[in-house]
Amino acid sequence: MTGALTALLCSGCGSWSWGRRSAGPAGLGATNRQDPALSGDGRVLASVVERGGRDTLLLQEQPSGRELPLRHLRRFQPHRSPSLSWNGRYVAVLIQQGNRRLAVIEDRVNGNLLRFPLPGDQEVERLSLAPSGRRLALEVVHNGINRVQVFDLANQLEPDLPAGMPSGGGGAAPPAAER
Amino acid sequence: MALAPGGKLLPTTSPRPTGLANAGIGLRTRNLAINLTRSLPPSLLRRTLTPPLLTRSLQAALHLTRIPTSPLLARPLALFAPLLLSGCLGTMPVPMGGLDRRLEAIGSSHSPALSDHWLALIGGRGGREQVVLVDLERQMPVPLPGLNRPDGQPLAVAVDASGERLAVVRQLEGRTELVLYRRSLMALEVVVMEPPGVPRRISLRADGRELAVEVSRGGVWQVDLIQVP
Repeated sequence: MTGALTALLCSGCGSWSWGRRSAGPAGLGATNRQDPALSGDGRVLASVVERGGRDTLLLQEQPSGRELPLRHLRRFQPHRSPSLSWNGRYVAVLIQQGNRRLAVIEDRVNGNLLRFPLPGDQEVERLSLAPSGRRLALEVVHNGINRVQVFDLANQLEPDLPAGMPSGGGGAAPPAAER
Repeated sequence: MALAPGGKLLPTTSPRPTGLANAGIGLRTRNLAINLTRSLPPSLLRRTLTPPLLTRSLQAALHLTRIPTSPLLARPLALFAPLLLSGCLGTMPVPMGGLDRRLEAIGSSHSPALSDHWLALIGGRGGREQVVLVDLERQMPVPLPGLNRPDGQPLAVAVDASGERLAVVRQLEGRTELVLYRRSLMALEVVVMEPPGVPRRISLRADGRELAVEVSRGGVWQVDLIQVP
């Protein structure tokens, strides 16, 4: 009761009630850190840092800051607009392949990479993955107009849910996946 | 898979799709094979359609191999035929057609933030943009009283899993600020950057209790993690 009252009182009385910290060092030689994305449970932080002069996805355990390995996403820079599922199993991000920007999802459990190539007259600008991994939103530019489109991935990805929550049916292996 | 102009995802036959044109050709080829096999007598098909024109799974699905000679074997194979075909053609992700039409009605839209039941974005027509929160189950926008201002320009948005808290970076009266909106209270609170900085992109933990904020300080982009009371 007292705790709830204190929280209520503090919520309106200024910034001091907000706990803050920096996300910490971004790695060797990195100065800028951009595009943060938290996993649903907050235990994984994705951000984009400069490595070797290229914008590269960095995945870190929180709060330790320990870097987590990625199988496919150490190349195809620049990376941008990362997004994570609930436990950080799925890492969605925009990569550069040749002269095209491409939305991909890396499955950190089985190492698959799911690709979403767009028609030549469309360019993807941003993305967002639902915490369960069941949906993906893409901001697509077509004829100079930005539009958000949402795609259902329920048959493409197994749901990544909080521990103890029933999945409600598993998904099939991604058809366009690399192993 | 490839995204077609209408937002439809097309399957590809290769694990490394090289473009929409190739994906389309692959799909058409298989459709042609299926139509062809349906229109010809099986005895003729066995003589004319052999690998690689027909894959093994397609042959099995269409009962063209010599394996299912027994009705006992043929029946389970027929049950598994869709599964075999789906493995062959790939399972297509389903674009949310009704939602797509709803989003189109908003006008241009950008900066999506997705939770499992909510989609937050910035959209509008004629240069007047506002934060929109869409209930994905009902595929309808919900009201956000007190959040959008005619003199404010939203730049980024994030939403928690319950759709209760929205974090918004906006430009207002010449400054860029981060605000946290609580939908049930219709309350807006400015989140002050400490040390001072200019916020840009944001991410909200699913329970809405932690914010990751990209902040510019002295020409350097940093990420702050802020616990939300």
